[in-house]
Amino acid sequence: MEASSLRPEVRSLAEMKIPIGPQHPALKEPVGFMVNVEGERIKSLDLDVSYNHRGIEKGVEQRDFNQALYLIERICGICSHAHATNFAKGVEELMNLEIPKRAAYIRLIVGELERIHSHYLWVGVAGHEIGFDTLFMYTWRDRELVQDLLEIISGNRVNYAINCLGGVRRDLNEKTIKLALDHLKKLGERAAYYTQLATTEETMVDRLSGVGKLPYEKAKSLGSVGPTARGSGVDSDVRRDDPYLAYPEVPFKVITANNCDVLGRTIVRAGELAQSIEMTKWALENLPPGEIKKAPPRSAPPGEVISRYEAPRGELVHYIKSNNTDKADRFGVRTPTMANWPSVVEGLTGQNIADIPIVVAAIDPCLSCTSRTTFVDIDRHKSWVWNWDELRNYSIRWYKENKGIYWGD
Amino acid sequence: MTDENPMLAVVKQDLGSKAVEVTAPRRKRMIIAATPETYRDIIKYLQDKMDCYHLSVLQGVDNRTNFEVVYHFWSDRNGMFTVKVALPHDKPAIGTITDIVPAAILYEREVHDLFGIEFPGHPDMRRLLLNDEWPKDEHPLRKDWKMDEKKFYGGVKSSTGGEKSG
Repeated sequence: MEASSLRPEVRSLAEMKIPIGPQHPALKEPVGFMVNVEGERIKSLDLDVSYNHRGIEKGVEQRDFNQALYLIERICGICSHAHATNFAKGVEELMNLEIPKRAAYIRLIVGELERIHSHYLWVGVAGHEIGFDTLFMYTWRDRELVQDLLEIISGNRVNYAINCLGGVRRDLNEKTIKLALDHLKKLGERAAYYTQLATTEETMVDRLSGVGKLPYEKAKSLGSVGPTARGSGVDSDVRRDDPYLAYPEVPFKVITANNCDVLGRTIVRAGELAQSIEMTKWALENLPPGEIKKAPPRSAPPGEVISRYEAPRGELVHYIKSNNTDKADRFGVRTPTMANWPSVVEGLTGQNIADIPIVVAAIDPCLSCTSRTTFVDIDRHKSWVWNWDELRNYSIRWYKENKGIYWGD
Repeated sequence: MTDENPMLAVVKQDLGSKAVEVTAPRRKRMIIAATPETYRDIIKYLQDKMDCYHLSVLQGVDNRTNFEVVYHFWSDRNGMFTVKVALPHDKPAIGTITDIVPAAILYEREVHDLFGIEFPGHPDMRRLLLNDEWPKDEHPLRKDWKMDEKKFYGGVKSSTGGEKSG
């Protein structure tokens, strides 16, 4: 690593710089942090996201629209459907192709199931980072129900590949719909329980409130998106404000919270779980009949389109420029995690070292496994290395000893 | 998808000669072509009058004869506004907007990294996405960029023979 790429500014002997990452086990996708601390307090934070550039934007320019669709699906393992759908609807807009209604509904159903599994995953990870592993076990067990459903609907557990240009690849039959409604009933009961837990369980409320402060004004000016913005009271949701697929027809509420901290983000996600479950149910019950796909033209006329999608982590933007060929001339992606990094920096400044895991996890970033954290003590000229687990254990111990927050072994 | 954008006439009239061209492909979408002299005024106008609080992203485009920087601003009320600024292919540069739009801080670094477009005035212009061993002055999203087999682009160096890109 080039020394200047992470630039700690050490001003006094009491200050320390702590590099964290680049490998990170909370989720996938590696990122490096250089944290500048004075005692327990974080004074400033710098980040390096250069470890996982795969050149997909360039790759898309060299593939035709059909091939690109499946490459784009692999941008993210958790919200693969978000990327594929956003690209497909953008290209269809360029081609002036309207997809059959049933296809729009099936895309929406898979999209909302994806949000449910992603939010369940997040609640579990958040529980794990604060030492509440029982919650992790519960939510990941429930998440299996959604994963099973996605596999039955699409044939795949991770990259569903349900989309094709002009519609969807597979239809839903009566048996699948019945099974899905059964599963969703169970999931709805669990979601209600988690909502109650996030808002009333005393230890959890104590641990999460006031942590990772992101005031409303900052959330707006730093361009935060998704549950991170909505947890700070920013009332925006692409599904409602810039509707696509069948969202104008499906009734739902946009959940916001005014806590402006990690608790707010948790409340928003728990609320969205319940909303998504209801939306999926409604879409399954009101699924319009008809065909599921139309043949797309090979090429798109010259033009440009900006395609937006409310991914589980927030607003996802694709910019697609076509030039009358079967390839995109320019394909630009802005993922929600990218938009939320400045809010992590804002949320961690002034906080404790012990809050790093949960504040980083609170934007639900796409990060990666096996982390090493080096602690450098400038004062004593020594350094030591912590991996993410040790940092997490330290965090849990610190809260146990200083705040009395502990869920037991 | 063919419905009209009701704001088109208003924006056209307000911007007058500041905008080179204003078009609206559909409702909630508007594309404003600007120049390096007027883009800041237009962005301020969008913030003040059109309620554009959110910079969705800013991106670079290589049109082979020139570069474009494309700013996408979102307003809950009026939809998406795309501001395009054309820059010369030789030494492209455009002043930073981080002073009026703090959210641009990472996006400008990304465009600088991948397209080699300079943003004078940016407070912290370092590499963002490419690794530290990536050769200087190589910007992979430029259309004329080709990987040089002899150069090292980061990753693991091969122990046998020459350097390999990972």
